[in-house]
Amino acid sequence: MRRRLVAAAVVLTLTACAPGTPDEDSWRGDATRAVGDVASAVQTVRVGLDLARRDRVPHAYLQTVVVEAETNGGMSAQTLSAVQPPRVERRRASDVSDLLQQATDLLTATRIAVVDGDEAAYADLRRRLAEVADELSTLEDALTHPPAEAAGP
Amino acid sequence: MTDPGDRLDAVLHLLDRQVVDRDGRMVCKVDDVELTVGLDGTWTVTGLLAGPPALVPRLGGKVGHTLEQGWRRLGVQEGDRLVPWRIPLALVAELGSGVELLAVRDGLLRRQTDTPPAPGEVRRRLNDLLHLAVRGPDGEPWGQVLDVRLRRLPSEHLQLLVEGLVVGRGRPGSYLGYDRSGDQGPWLLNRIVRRIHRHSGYLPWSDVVGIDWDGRTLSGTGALRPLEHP
Amino acid sequence: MKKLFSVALGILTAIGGFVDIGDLVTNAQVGARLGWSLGLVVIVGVLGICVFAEMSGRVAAVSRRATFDLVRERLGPRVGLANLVASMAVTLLTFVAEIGGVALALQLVSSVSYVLLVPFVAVVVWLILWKARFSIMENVLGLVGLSLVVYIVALVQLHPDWGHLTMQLATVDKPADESWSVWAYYAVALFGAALTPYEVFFFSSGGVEEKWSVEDITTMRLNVFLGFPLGGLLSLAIAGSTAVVFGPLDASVDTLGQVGLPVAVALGKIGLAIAILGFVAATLGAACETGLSTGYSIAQYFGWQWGKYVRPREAARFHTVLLLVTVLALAVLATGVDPILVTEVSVVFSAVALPLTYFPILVVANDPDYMGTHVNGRLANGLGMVYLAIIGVAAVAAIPLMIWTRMGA
Repeated sequence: MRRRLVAAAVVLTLTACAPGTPDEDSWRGDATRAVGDVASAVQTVRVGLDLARRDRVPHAYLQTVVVEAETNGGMSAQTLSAVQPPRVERRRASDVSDLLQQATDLLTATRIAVVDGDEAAYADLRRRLAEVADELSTLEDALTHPPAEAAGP
Repeated sequence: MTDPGDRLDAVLHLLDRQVVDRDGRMVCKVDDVELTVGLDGTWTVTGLLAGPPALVPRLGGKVGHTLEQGWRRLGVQEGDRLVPWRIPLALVAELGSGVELLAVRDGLLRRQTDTPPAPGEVRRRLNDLLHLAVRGPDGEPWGQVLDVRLRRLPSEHLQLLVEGLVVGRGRPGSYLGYDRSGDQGPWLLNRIVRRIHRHSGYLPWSDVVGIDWDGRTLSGTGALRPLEHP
Repeated sequence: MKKLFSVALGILTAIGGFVDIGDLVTNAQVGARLGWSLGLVVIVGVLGICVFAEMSGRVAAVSRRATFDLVRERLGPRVGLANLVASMAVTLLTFVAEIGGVALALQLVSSVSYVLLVPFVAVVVWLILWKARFSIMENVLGLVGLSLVVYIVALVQLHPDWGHLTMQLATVDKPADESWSVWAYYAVALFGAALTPYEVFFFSSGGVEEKWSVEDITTMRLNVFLGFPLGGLLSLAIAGSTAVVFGPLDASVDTLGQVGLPVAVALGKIGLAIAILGFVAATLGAACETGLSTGYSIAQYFGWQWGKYVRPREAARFHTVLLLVTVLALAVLATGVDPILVTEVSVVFSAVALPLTYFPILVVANDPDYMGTHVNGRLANGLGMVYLAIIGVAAVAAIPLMIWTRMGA
């Protein structure tokens, strides 16, 4: 009996030591991951639209890629929104959630355009995707620093 | 593949082998071996046993015990639930890489109780002998029964007589076959297995004094002979 | 002339059949995030599978018995059962991932949701397992899988910085923004993807199916030592092409659609069509192999008749197992679980199950009772022991790394 209790205690301690214990660094890690995932989705869709412009990708393929990117990006953003940000990160959390919302909305707009076959809209969407991608990249870099060092008004 | 000659070890050469019929079709595995204690006290192999009632008791330990209970409960209404299938040894044509039979497999397997032993004879299983604790004349522990040495009697069909026991520490079959040839590779594994088995020896059947089935002990006289391999 | 043709066929089939959904996904992910810094792991992994596949093929050719068949004989029913449970669990997981992979590849062509395509794929897989001749199945799917060579063409066409890539490979130069724990996790995952447990059991059972004998050993060795490394080259090409396209964008690869994009960038629609054909063939072939492997493992443990070399009615239990396993895989995929996630989990658990599955092969291949004069030589044994040590390390490290890095996140 005692051996089992000791074993359980060891397992629990080890699990607790794995990254993910609720604290400030934990939220930062989650946010970095989420921003990275959404940025990947945005970049992927950008590549896809670029290929469509050069007529190098069939429509069904592009549609699948865009739908998957929208789904995955949406899931990442949603997972992060459920995580409680620590008090010191509240402002950054709000910035993050705004930008993620903007990105996922853009992904949805792209998906609608692609499924509709509205190729005229692709050029504008590509431009906006590029902008969002840059902002996400900047945000991801900023998130590697703890809040006290983060520059900003 | 290689002919085991007129001596073979039951665990190494017989147990868990694939049984194949006359046409090359697979029948079963040798899950256990039926031993008959004759009226003159000699032990001979009389059949091959197969099926969950034969296999599950060999698994041993907690897992084996649980599986045994489970097997019994799943068929509690069946009268022959714990009786394994039996292939009489007379149907065995050859012992090669597998066990080759003289018959075809259709309808081959019968329950062990369908052919009861002759009056006065007692039936045992090889698994009953394996793992018995072996003690010397002064009660000193020699180890466990790891394998049973059999001798092929010269006759038309296969007849196997129990000749002696391989005794040592460890589990039956844990030789992994490294006992038979000193230079079997890989070298490191060879050395490890031989080291584990450095206390193993051979006990002729004539030196077996008695077997306490309930206490799972076997008493021997004389001394453990050095292990020579078939 | 005919002999030359069959040797060439064997090699080509081995190349085309080498890559499965685990290799596709893992190499693409690694390329995007880590470039070729794990290239040495791929090379080590491919050499490992060559060593053990050669052993298990030799066992089949000489003893006319499949490797798993002999595991219970040599190691006993207890260890055999543990081996069966472990390898079945991992192979089943891989089977689910492969069927999901076929459905994902078909989704890329049709844009029908993969969940709706899974039943169709499951039926096709089952029909192949039930009806198709073994050699036809292997040859057709292997040759069509050769279309994945398009990745080598694509990589060249993308004009990568070859100097940079080779430096990354040779000096294990991990990108600065990724941690060593992530590198280690993907190293284990790549190992598990290259050295899948089912491969050796399938290879030797396949040898018995195709009635190999001692004369076939040379052909078998050519298939293994030429075919598998060339197949490994495909893995490096996949990693390289995602490195070129996704690396600069700092994007990670999570879907099969992304895996194909570099080919579209390099070669356009035609290249992409060839790549998708390759996806379908590779994953369908692997689905058949993993499905058969589950049947082989169970039948060879219990002594039931197995194999496609006999009519289905003579191996009723074997084919029933195949049917049940297919239904089970269908049920799992019908829950909508992401096949890519299943793939990622399956390669890690493959790494964990490796020692239990490879150790018996080493023992059996050394046993003169089965192998006669064809027992392992010093080279095979030396390499075998070294790889056993590497596999042991990977197996122990796999789960902790998976937890620590949150599956490479």
